[in-house]
Formats: sequence, structure tokens, C-alpha cells
Amino acid sequence: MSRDDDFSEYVAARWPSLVRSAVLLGCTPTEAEDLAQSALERCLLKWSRVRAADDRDAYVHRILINLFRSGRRRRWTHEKPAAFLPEQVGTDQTAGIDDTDAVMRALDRLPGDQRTAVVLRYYAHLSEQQMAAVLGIAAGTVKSRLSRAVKALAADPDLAELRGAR
Amino acid sequence: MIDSDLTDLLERAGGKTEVGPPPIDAMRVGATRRRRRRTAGVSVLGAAAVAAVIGGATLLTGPPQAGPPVATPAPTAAAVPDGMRLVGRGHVAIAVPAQWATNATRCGTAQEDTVVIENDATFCLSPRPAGVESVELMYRGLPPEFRADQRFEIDGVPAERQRTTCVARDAPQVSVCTGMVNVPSLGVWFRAESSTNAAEVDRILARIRITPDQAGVPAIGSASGEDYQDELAEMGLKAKLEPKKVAHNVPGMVVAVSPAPGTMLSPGDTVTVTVAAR
Repeated sequence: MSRDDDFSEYVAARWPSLVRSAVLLGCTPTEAEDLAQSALERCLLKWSRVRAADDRDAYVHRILINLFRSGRRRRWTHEKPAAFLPEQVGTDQTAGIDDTDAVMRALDRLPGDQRTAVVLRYYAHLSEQQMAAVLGIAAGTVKSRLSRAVKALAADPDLAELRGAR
Repeated sequence: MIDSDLTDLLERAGGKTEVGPPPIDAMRVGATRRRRRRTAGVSVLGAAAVAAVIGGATLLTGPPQAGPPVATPAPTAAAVPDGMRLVGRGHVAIAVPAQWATNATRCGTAQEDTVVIENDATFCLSPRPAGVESVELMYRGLPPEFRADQRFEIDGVPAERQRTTCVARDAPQVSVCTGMVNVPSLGVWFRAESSTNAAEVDRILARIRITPDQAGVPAIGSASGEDYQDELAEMGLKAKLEPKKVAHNVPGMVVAVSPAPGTMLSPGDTVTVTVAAR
């Protein structure tokens, strides 16, 4: 398969999940698309290497996370975007618990590293090995970070109500 | 909390986000732009440069924009950069350096930096000197071998780009780089050439824009007075026909127009059209 076809195929398959991962990490949908696009552009630049690598997903997610973090660092020195505000403008506070809001609120409460770990493991379905490569940490650290995150989520009131209501 | 719970919750939460189709073309362009920024050398696909000066939600220059194209309100005439002038046909124009000549060709080949609106290609051949940039602004007659390597938008109008390629012409050894942009809905296409390098071609084509508030006087070609009047009407310009006794001309054919083809006018302006008297 030509290099180009291969890239198109990869993108077609992974695009929605990459964008949604970015949303779960805390981006607005527009930012998420920007982020995913930027990441894939950079991957295209090195696509022959990416193709040859054992793990395209790990490579792509590593770029995605790095971009997300550097973007986040830049952002914190400027204004706080709506995504980071505790009260979402336009969120109907009085309505019953909305699944998505509850999940997003719970994720918002996690420290960044834990949130990233949760999204990579439970949404992007990366293995612990892949996550170690993506995050540049030891597999053991991945394990402990995940377990702390899951514990925090299990105790999260929003999620508890959600699970209770199901 | 068991794993599948968490997966389920995240997938439902993630699934709420609507995701448009992947902007693959834009990614390729972006990747190429990054590659060009890092390595010197001949650019093969320069569509990214085309977006450089274009207003409106089109391709990327800085932070990439993804998602489906959004209709932008028609921009008020963007200022022409200093030292440039605008040359166009109807509502599509290109900004070229003010000092460039117009139609400075010999046997259809540019002899100095020039914009070309009327081509004088005749049965002769003239070599292109080195270090010459040029752009042709043409209407219809898109060469059949034109390939749309890239599709994009200029101020919301669909356009196509054929990648810049360079060919070494023979004695004297001059490398000529060519790139093209086609705007199908307006019938206008541009061919930029440079005997300096490929980056110049990309730079030239980056200055194409849509001008909703201005109309460029069309080239004459071989139009009759009536045909030309129709063309003007299509772009909101008026014609004032002036017959003139001219030797060796088919009666009724347009001999000259004023202001000159390529000049940008406001809607409702009048173009004086000299036609060969019957």
C-alpha cells in the first residue's frame, strides 16, 4: 500500500477517537480537532518511520499528548478557557444529571497526569506498555497512576450517582 | 469501579462529541509546510503557501483549523499590501509587486517580472531569462493536462492547485518552476512561473484572493463587442462601445478596452470598449 494510502487509512480509522480523546482530556471540540490535526500532521512528516515502528498508535498518542501538554502550558499563562472553569457557561445546573457532564466533571477533578492515564487506558485502550512509551514513564508508574485515578473516580460523587441511576 | 464501567462511561461521554471528517488534505499541506520550513530545497507541493495571505476560513497558516468549511461573511475589501497592486478578472484577483510589468512577454515567454493577462504566444520560441517571475491570469482554456493535486478554498470559493514542479530547460540552462491554481466556478486559472526557484512560485500563488467588492476588467482575447459586453455585465460592469475604423480587423471585434484588462473596478463602473467599425 502506498505511503499516502496508508496514512489516509490510518487517519480515517483513528480520527474520531483521537478527537474524542482530546475532548476527554479537556479540550473543546474545536481545540480537539486542531490538536488531532496537528498531531497527525507531525506524524505524516515522519510517516515512513511511524509505519515501520511496531506501534503507530503509541507514536501518534505520544505526539498528541505532548502537543496537548505544551498547549496547556501556553494556555495557562494567558486566559483560562471556558473548559477549565468550574461552572460551565450554559450548563443547565438544575436539570437532572447529564451523563456527559458528570463524566467530564469527574475527569476535571483528576490531576492532569491521572486524567491522561485514564483516557489513554479506558478510552484509547492503550496497553500499559504503550502508555509507558507514550508518557515516557516506567510501566510500574503507569500502574500506580492508574490505580490512584480509578480509586478517585470510584469515590467521585457525580459518578456514583450516575452508576446508581443505571 | 470495574474497568468496563469506566470504559463504558468514557465511550458514552466521548461519543457525545460530534466529529467531522478528517481534514486529510489540510494535514498533507501542513506536513509539507513543516518539511519545507526545516529543509531548504525545491518544494513539490506548495498549496500551503497559497493560504498564507488569504483571509477567511480556508487552509492553515498558523494554528490549524479543522472541521467542515464554515461559510464566512463576505469580507470587506482587504487592503492590498504596500508595494503591491491588484490585478484580476471579475471577482478573483492576485496581488503582484507594483513594479512588475504587464504582458512583458516575447513569443509568450516572460522576459522580465510580469503579470500576463493577454498572451501574445505566436509561432516562435523565446527562452526565459534566469531570475524572472511571472504569473498568467487566464480565463477558460485550462490545459487538459492540468491536475488538481490539491483542493482547497480561497475565501470560501473552491479552488484547485497543481503542485509546483521544476524543469531544466535547455541552452541556456535555466530551471523553470511552474505551479497552477484553478478556480473552476469562475473559469479563471493562474500559472505562476519562476526561473529563480520554486518558493517564488508558491509565494506568487499565495497572493490570490476573491474580491467580492471589486471586478477586474477581462482580457480581450478574441471577443466581439457583444460577447465582451456580456462578460462585463456578468461581473457588474458597464460597457461603452466605441466604433473605430481600424485596418485589418474583423468588424465588430474588440480592438482595445480602457481601463486596461486586469484593472480592478467597482461595481457599476464603465469600461470603454473600442470595436472595429463595420
